[in-house]
Amino acid sequence: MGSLSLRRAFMKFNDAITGVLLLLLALAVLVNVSSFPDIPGQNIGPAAFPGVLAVLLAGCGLLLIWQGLRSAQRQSWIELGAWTRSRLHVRNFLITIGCLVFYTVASDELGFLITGFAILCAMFWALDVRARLIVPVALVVTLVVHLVFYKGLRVPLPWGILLPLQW
Amino acid sequence: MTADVFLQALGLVLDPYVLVVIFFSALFGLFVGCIPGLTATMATALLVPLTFFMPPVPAVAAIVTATAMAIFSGDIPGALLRIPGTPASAAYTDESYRMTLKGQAEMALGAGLVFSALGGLFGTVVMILFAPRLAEVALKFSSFEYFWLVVLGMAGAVFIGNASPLKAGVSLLLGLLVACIGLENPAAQLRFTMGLPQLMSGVELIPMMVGMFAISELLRYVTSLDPPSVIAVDRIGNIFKGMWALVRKYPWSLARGSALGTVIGVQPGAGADMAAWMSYATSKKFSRSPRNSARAMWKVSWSPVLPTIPHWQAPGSLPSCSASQATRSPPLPSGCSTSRT
Repeated sequence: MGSLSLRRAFMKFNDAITGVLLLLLALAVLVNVSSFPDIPGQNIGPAAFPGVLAVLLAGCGLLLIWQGLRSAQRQSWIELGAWTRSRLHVRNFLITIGCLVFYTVASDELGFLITGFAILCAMFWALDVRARLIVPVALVVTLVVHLVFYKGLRVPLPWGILLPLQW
Repeated sequence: MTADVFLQALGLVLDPYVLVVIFFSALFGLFVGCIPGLTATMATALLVPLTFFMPPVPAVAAIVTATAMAIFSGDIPGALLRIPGTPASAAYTDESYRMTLKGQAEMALGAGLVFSALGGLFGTVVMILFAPRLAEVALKFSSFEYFWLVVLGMAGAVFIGNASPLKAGVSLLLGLLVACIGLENPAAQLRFTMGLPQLMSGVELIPMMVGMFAISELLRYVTSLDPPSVIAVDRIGNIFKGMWALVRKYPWSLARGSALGTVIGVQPGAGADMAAWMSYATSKKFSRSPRNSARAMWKVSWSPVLPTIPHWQAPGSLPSCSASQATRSPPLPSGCSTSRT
């Protein structure tokens, strides 16, 4: 990635922090796995594979902590990307995440057409699309996507409250 | 004898009905491959209901054409948007997108097209000459061989030119851990589902790809401080321009990619994805100009033509052939793609 990723760096944690998080994850997996039952007469049960992965992950976590502590003098614990100082970009970041959460929560209730249209409007507005174009483009794109995926590719997109209009 | 069979096959393929089928499945493959999240496997799966109503030759032609085309057209969003259309394109997405940013979109797309066609032709020649013998070897693969093959592929994913193999290893382990979610283990024990019924069947490849590539690209775009004009691309001109020079410049990469793709693609279970990653790894290793190396490895994308061989053992059993194609979405690529991001 080189210079591309440095310039566009999103957020950077010291390796030690990542290592601690991985270690915690590995421990959580090991605790969870210990309650899995054995298969009678078999050496390998459902716990074996995640267990091995968790042990390896814990090893990687320890190595990362070691690496991070060695370089801790030179770099800070958390480096935020340059975008976090721009209110506009932080707002857009939050809107994007919000749209994803909104779709996950509301798409079954409201249906794909309404949520898709609302999300597109929000994203277009956030990304400075000309105000006159927002609604028509969002409408057309939602309908086309719905047509292609629902009719053409048979993806069962939810209808939600528009169920009476189903075609 | 081979010549006889070849002429006979040519007669079957040049039938107008078959040619029309090939044309439309190529368009269909192009379309499906272009859409990030819809894979070549998906293209096959979507074609199955149609191929039921066809005679065997056009049906096989339809599936092979659509698959090969989808694998190529996965390069298109990869090169233009940095979102690989199919997992097989993920290996060189960064490089092709970087070429697009430099104004070389034509060359990136042309290389993808020309070299995947060349690799495809190479694979076809190998298949014509060696299909029966290759099929015998491929059928002898048992769990042990699969295991080591997968280990080989994943070791390649970790050690390919990553700045930090440790972090690549962590991503690989996280990917494998994600693959553990769900019911799909020998004891059918619910693992890590956190009580959510949606997770019982595991995390599938498509949500994984959308999350790893599309959403990360979206967030990167939204938080990007670059002026938006960076992505603006000129009209795409003749993508075949300069391809002959490229072929002459990288004959060894072409040969290596083709041979490697054949060896990997012929094995059931290891599809274009793994072939692309491994060819990428070797090309990067052998290249004297690491910056340019990426360009030389497009050619592997064709190998899915070959994995169909083992299923041809039972002629006329097309439905089973298509079904096994459709269900053959191995858990590995999700681990692999995770490990790269």
